[in-house]
Amino acid sequence: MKFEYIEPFVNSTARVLDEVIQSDISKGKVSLVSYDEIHGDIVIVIKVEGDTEGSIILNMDNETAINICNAMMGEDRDELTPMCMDAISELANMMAGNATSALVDLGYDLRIAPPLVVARDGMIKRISELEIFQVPLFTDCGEITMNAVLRTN
Amino acid sequence: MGPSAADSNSAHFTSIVIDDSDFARMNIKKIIASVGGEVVGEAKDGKDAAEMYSQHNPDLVILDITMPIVDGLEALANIMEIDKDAKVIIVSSLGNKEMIKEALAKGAKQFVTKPFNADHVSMIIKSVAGIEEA
Repeated sequence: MKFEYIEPFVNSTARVLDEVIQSDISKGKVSLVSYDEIHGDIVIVIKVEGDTEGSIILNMDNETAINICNAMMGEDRDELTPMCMDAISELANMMAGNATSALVDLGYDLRIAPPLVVARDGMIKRISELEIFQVPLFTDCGEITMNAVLRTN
Repeated sequence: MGPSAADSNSAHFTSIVIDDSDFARMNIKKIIASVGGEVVGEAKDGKDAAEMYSQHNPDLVILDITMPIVDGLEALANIMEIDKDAKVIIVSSLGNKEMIKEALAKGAKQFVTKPFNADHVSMIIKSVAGIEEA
């Protein structure tokens, strides 16, 4: 993944999170990691195509997912309902859509597919040989990790 | 043109909502209801958009872009082929300049980028649906 992608990508992602869950966001250190460093109970994958191909992956633990769902829906649940999972998928869609749009406005050709919530085990096998750019985002709801697995064409 | 207020009980306008996210449709439906509209049909993919438009002949269409089988731009073109005066508002996370330009060129009346402010979307819906302020 080209380094110039990173800043607009991370900034627009953090802005969306801030707007949707109304939380102060602090960005952790950007790093390159391997597949076994993607942790969390909930994994959402958004396929990216165009000048670069790969996926944007969000992962978080159950508690963070429940907190985000409650923030998005204005509720106080203690479990993940199907509508909660859909809300989190939509959050991932907004984060990926805005992040790729920021890059499209800089002249890149990028398209995204609808979000897919997948089992972590099934996802990591397919990306295990690719480099993953990872940034943790700390919110009032908990930590969300954004990973971008993108191969430049 | 779609049915007027008189055709649809007390609703000021009728609409269909096409978005693959249940959560997104739920939010948009709340906004439409808050401005006196009625959602007469909803779908999770653009492939159903044209048929749903023909079936309901709504006053307003809310259309997402990123969907699994037929995306919103293709669905928009299909709807405009049926009714060149269709009132379509695109609501999408893909708010880049090229996408907005393409959607408006294909006939969309407005383009709203997600995440959105509910009051802003209410205003746009009222404006596109032709609802007069009280």
